[in-house]
Amino acid sequence: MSPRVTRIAGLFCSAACAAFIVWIYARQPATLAQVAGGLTSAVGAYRIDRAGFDEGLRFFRRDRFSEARAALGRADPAQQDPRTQFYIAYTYYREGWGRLYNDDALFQRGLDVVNHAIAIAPTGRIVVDDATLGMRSADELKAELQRGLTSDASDLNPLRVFGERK
Amino acid sequence: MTPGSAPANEADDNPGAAREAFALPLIFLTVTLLGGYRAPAPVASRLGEASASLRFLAPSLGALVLALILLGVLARCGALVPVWLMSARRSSLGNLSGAVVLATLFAASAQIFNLLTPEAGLLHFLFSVFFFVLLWN
Repeated sequence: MSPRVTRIAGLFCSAACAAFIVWIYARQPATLAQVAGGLTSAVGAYRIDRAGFDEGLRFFRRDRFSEARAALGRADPAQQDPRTQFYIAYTYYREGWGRLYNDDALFQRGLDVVNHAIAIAPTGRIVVDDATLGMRSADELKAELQRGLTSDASDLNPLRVFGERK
Repeated sequence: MTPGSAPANEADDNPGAAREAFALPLIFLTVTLLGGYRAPAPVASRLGEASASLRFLAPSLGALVLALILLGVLARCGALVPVWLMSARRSSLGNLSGAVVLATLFAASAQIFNLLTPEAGLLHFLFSVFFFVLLWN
């Protein structure tokens, strides 16, 4: 191999490594699964485990939220599928919702997850066609979680106990 | 060959090209990647989820300054001869390759200082000042 070809190959190799390092430091993946998933999703090759996703949905519709999050987490280990992350955020909302008060920790966690879902969505918009959900877009879910975390005079409204979980 | 001149015939120096194009950048990039790695102790949250196991810390401004000073020290002591990497006698591709080596050396040096210096607090300041005085002398 001539020195010219060697240098060109070396430059491409260095550029690829440098791009990977910049990606790592910019995205800050938390686990090796997220690293692998992030790389595969960058090239459009990331796929979730469909069976795990369906199992998670079954748990979700039976109000078994911890089991649903575990199954959905297994289906999307790299946390790169917007729809799965939307459902995970929804589990936090449904589990944290209360007639008298909401669980702020769960709502905050749900808000973090839905923000992540919006960030990884290709157009920043997630709409789910699911008749069992009261909120079918990430924007609605995000707004509801933010309202639940905000303390204002409406929290003292006695009619709040008649509200319905969405 | 004197330290002030570039290699006589760069085109025939294939082992040198491989070292300059592959070995050195990859070594320095590996240091750059792993120098910022921090492994926090796993703690289960209240919600029963494991915390993150990977964390990468970018170099601070002080680490970048120290890396720049280190490059100057390396050049002054002769360990780094910039004219061997970039000069008018080299081809454009050779100069680009040399620039990549210098850039990756700078990044690796910054990450080494980032690794050796505490992240925050008084110790961060003391370590930074110590390294600065050490290199300045």
